[in-house]
Amino acid sequence: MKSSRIGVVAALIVGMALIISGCTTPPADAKTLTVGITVEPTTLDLTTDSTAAIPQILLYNVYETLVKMDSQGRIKPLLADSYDVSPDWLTYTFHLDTKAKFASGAPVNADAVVASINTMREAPNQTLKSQMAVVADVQARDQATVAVTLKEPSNFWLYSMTDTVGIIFDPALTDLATAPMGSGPYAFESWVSGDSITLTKNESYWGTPGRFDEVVFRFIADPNAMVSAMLSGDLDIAGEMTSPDSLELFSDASKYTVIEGTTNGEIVLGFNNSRETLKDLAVRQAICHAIDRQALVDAVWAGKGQLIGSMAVPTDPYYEDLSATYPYDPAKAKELLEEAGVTNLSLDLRIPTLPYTPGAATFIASQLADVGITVKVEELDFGRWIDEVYSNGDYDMTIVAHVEARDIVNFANPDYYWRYDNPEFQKQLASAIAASPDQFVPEMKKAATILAEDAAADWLFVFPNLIVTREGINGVGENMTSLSFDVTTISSKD
Amino acid sequence: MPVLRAALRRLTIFVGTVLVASLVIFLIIQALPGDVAQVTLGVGASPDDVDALRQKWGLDRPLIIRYFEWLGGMLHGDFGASYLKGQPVVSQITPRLAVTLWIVGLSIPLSLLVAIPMGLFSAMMRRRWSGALINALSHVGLAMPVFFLGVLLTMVFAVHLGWFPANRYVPITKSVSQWASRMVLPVMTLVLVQGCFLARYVRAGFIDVLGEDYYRTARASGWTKWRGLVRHGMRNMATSLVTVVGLQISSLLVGAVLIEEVFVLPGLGSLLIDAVGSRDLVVVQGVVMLLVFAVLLINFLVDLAYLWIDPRLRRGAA
Amino acid sequence: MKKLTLVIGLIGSGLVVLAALVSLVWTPFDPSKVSGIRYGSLTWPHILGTDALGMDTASRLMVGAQTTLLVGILAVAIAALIGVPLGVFVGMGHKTLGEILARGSDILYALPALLLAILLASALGSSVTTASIAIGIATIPVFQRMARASTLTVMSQDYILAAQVSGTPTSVIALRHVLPNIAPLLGVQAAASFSMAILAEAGLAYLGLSAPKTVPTWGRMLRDANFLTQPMQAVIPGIAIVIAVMGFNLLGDGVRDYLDPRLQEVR
Repeated sequence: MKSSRIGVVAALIVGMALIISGCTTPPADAKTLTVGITVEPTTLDLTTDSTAAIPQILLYNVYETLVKMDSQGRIKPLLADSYDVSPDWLTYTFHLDTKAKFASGAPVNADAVVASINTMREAPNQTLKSQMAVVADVQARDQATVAVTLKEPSNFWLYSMTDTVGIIFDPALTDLATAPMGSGPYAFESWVSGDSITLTKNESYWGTPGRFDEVVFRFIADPNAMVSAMLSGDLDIAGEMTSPDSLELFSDASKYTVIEGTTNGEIVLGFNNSRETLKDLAVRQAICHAIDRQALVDAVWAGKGQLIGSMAVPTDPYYEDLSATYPYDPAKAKELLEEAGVTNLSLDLRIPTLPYTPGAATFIASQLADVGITVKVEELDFGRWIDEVYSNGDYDMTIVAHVEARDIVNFANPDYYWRYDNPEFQKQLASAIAASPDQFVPEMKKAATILAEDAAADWLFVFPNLIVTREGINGVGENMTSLSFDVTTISSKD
Repeated sequence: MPVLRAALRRLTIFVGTVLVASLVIFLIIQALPGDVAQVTLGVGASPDDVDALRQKWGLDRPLIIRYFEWLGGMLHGDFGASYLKGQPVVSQITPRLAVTLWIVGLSIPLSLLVAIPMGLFSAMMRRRWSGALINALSHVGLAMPVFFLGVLLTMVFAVHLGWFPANRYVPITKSVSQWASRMVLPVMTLVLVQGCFLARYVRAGFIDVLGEDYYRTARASGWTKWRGLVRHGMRNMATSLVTVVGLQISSLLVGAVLIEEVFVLPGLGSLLIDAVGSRDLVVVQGVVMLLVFAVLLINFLVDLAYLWIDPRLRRGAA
Repeated sequence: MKKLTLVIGLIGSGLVVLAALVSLVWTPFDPSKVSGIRYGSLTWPHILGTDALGMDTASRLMVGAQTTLLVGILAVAIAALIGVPLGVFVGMGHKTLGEILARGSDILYALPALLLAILLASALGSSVTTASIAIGIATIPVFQRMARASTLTVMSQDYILAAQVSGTPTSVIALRHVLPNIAPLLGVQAAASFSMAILAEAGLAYLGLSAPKTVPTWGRMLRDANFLTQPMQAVIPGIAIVIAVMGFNLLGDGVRDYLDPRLQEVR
């Protein structure tokens, strides 16, 4: 009896709330941009955590870099309005924009730049640390000039400075994990765990100010939920469409714009090259021949996503299409296996659970079965994947997208989880990085070709940049050339 | 004072159980492969950096010391601080708990509101098609995966009709109207499933009454079928229903995670999943300990209540 | 009406068992073979269409029935094999042991089942087995309490007292008198827990804590379906789950009514 009375009271409360909701209209004060993204970071400390979701939200929007990458892959000035490179390609001198200041009001001066670069050189995040490994010395020449000296010439370093590693922190910043402070057009406002991160307009921004009073990054992991939030008008931008099939729902051009570009993410079917069977080039070639990558993209990612064939993406200057190196040819695959004397091959495909991996793994298992290779698929949560596959190399094959820019360097590290140790490639890559700038592109092409021909991995496709915006939203970059979801260029008509 | 002694005995058992539970929770959670330092540094980490981070977070110290630190902290309400965010675990749990409590707290009374008429009607009309139909409906509702229902309701009410927002939680303190409109679909989903579940208990309770002597007496003395059933049935059913609902609360608190996933609500269940995913074990331990403590406490209080009510139990029988 | 319950229950659960049995020897297509026909329409030869990878839905549904039964059997077996002996033990009056077991059961009951599933999946990899084990462990207290309560009722009967007085060993009393008497109730509980396990597994599959995509399961098919563009691929496994859960629920109810009409109509 008592419980039903409680029920009546609760029903009345809800009823009243509903009536109120019918009466009030939302206040039309603040101009808000709501962007749906899939991954919530666990911390915002990007010097420690390598989760791509952190720079996705903060880079360029909250934190700025000396130089910036535009959507076409060109280096543009940002905090540094110009830079000089010494004739020996060892010293980079950055001339800071004297107008530049942090959201806190402090100027972006040489001391702040030197401190940030030194922080990155010592960062626990290995990606950042290794990108900075080439730096020999950082000096403040005067309040607006910073000189960075490299140990050896590098075609990669300046490029990497456009991304996370180039971030300049506000010296007043003390809590990297939950209260980032930078010089961008938006400032970090709040983080509602499990829901969203809100940025507010930096009213005293030194450059072209942001067009919105508030930018909300909402975390929506479930693909169906992302689509329904967009369809029901809850989002201005669905920043990552992890169910590409659903794009057809947004075909009404008067209501939505669908953006299809590319990213730096190579989806790699990685081989454990230290396994006896996979050390055999013929076996790796056979696997590559056995997989119809175009059919895979069609099935797994609705045909969005380009084939690449090596560890380079279309926005890399040295990119060339190597996807035909080992074309789909199951008969050839069988032949190769036979010649190599490999029978009853059974491989463990251990994948982290990510939106694209289960479908790709199922597809690959089916196609490899056609050429007589048994594939055992296991889905691991990311923590276990990192522990067992990534750190301990306990796997035969795995699938993961490598989203960092120019991550071809990982193939030169024999300790990396692919356990790929090819002196020829290592030498070629080193000379390409240190080559004179005009030789950079051809030398890099050679390096990428070595990888492709050696079937060091099977590059399935480039992760496409699939974005849906509602009508009236402009300025969303087509290609994701850095890790940033850059909202600084975005505006809305209404 | 036998009552006092018995109560004291219960208290000792309760405290002992909580301590054992904390040890069990700590140990099974620590047994997870992969640790927070590794997951954080992610792809590209070197073993040295992982060790350094472990040291920074104090993860290199022996298990037993970490256990007692954690236990000692909890005694004065300090559940530790998240490795990743550095914030106290309590301050992370509180807003999440609020979301889950709203969903569960609203759906329990509302599902009773659905279940009682449904059960009553199908019991009353059990020999007719209408009653059988309601009964069949409750069986279908019971067999429906909750997330399936949730997505179906979203498709109909949010995407096609556009009556309610598809997902997300807005705190009631921020906007009452937003809060209410976003609560409708998740609560409706849970109410439909829970209502069907409880309706079967209600129906059984009423059918029981139909066979009892006091009901027949009431009928013979001129009461209508409905009046007799409602008057006597309600009382008969209320106790068992309260027990069932009570038993369900703990599973509902975490069970709501499916609702949280479908409707993207930042509740306790999703905190648990996220924290396990990032191996922020202090947070996992905190959430689990809180839930276990709550359930054990309810058990203990019920035990005590029985002790007052039933003198026979005072002698200390189990 | 009682007969109807039993009949519907038999049909529902029978369909699942039949699909599982047939799939052992025959399916229309290889259930894990991808084809170029994405989202094929519901026409011959793919009568239930194909999914995003072009795999035949009907074949996957049939093989999925095996998994569904496996989940139910494994979970109920674990719960019953551990829960029932413990419950009977405690019910027969092992004081200290009983107290310890009761507290252990309290802790287990308070531990959210979801946590067990997450932990097992993280530690051993997510599979149908880990999901079933987690569901089974979480169901132990249900069987333990049920067995204890019904044992207590049986123990107060005169013939038990007589057996005790005449010096019959406790184990013999448990096997001869207690177990046979509580068996029907436990059977009904098993049917109910069976269907609950199926439902729970679907939930875990939705959270990615059960079978990998290569193993056809209904929960996984539902999770991977695109509800908005290809609703049929979600509705088909959804209906299959409803039929199975309802089937076993009604089967349990029906059998109970048939065996003992006096038993309450609640699990």
